[in-house]
Amino acid sequence: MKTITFTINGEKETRDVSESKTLLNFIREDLHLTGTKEGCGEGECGACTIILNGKAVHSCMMLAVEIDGCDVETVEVMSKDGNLDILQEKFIEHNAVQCGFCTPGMLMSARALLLSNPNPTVDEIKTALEGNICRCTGYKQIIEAVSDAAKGGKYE
Amino acid sequence: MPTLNYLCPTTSSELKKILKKKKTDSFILAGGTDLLVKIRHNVVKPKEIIDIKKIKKFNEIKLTKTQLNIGCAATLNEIAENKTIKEKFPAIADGSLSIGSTQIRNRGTLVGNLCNSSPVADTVPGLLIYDAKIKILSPTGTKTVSIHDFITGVGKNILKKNEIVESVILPLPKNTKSAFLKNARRKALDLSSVNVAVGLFNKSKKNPDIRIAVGACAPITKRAQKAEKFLKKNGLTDETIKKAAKMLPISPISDLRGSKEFRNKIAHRLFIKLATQLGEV
Ligand SMILES: Cc1cc2nc3c(=O)[nH]c(=O)nc-3n(C[C@H](O)[C@H](O)[C@H](O)COP(=O)(O)OP(=O)(O)OC[C@H]3O[C@@H](n4cnc5c(N)ncnc54)[C@H](O)[C@@H]3O)c2cc1C
Ligand code: FES
Ligand code: FES
Repeated sequence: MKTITFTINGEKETRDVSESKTLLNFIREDLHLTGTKEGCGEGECGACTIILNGKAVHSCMMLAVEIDGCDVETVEVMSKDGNLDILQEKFIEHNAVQCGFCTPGMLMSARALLLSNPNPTVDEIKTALEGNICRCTGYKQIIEAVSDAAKGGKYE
Repeated sequence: MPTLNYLCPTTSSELKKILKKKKTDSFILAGGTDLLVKIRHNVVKPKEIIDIKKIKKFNEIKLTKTQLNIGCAATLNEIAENKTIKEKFPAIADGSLSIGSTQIRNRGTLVGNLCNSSPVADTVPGLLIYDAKIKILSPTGTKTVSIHDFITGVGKNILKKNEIVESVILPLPKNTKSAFLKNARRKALDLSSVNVAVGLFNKSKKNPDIRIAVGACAPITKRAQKAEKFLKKNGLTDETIKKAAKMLPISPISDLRGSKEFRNKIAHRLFIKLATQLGEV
């Protein structure tokens, strides 16, 4: 066990964690934030995407102990007091959600993009989402939803 | 995952002390994008992990008058977006950018790609054409070796158990044009079936100082010395480029990413495309 201190969705936390636990399992099992999904467990699908110090990363490819001193965001950061984030609203509006399994990862990749680049081109959106696989939608609706959410360049 | 001891030194001297006692079941962790997959599949069973990312200077990409130093914790995306690397070492920038996906590149490092020493590693052809030097840190100090001596087999390199790569040093070239191309089944998240880096290091089409490296087609990716010498002697024309393509040091295998014949054809085609482009301007 090791004690780590980190920020999760804006709140500072200190926890004991097993050195051999992946960040994904820590988020789901210890923090009980089950929005983050496990698809492949090895970097191929993007379902486990979270934001670490402002960058989209796979939580399945990290040890939980690595987040000591870091800022972590999971999909739960997005809605506030029952109000959806603009990205979430646009995903619904554009039918960019079917089974929904890829959606938390897609949202986190899109959020990381818009936070660092509020006016992305379609190509930049595609690059940001290239690591997120969706078996249902065919991607078109997802890209449209992100473009639409970015309109005005004021994502926060 | 079995129980682990996790060490996270914050200075080189702390790391050196750890390296002194390092055993064979202790592993260096950079981005973890190769290592965590190996642990998951029980290919390696570490008892100890040494995380090197919290050592500040290991994260730096530093330019001096004569060279560029890429620290072992600099991520592939930091490298792909670095202005100097894009300008002076496009085969490294594009090789880095071709790896995995945004998430993989936000964690994965160039030095991890090198130390993993896979024949398909996408940053290695670039390192070879720029004659990179590899700075190795051990408990007793540092030494520098040539990239051409670093990789010794599939997944193997010259590092001893208590050594790490601290940085990669790229000598600043004059008058150069260079580029990287990769062929894969899909654009993102796929390993190369063939990758090629070619650079022209003088302005002469008659006696071009051309450097060529073709990856994923042999156990160890090496410079195509025979083809380089032939072009230097015979000049850069459509005809000589086609002849040089037949001299590439490749012995591809057939696997799920392509048959032997397919790889041979693609290697020739990518090389001809790059060499022709460089000769044009
Ligand atoms: C989905 C997916 C897609 C991928 N696509 C590609 C691709 O297209 N092309 C490609 O080339 N690779 C690809 N990879 C492989 C991997 O992402 C790269 O090789 C990456 O650059 C590894 O860097 P890392 O920092 O994550 O290495 P790590 O996993 O941290 O380390 C890799 C190995 O090197 C050792 N090591 C790391 N740093 C040092 C050091 N400084 N000194 C000594 N030893 C060290 C580690 O102990 C380990 O054995 C992919 C991987 C995944 C999971
Ligand atoms: S579960 Fe992490 S990338 Fe698939
Ligand atoms: S909505 Fe089902 S996987 Fe994307």
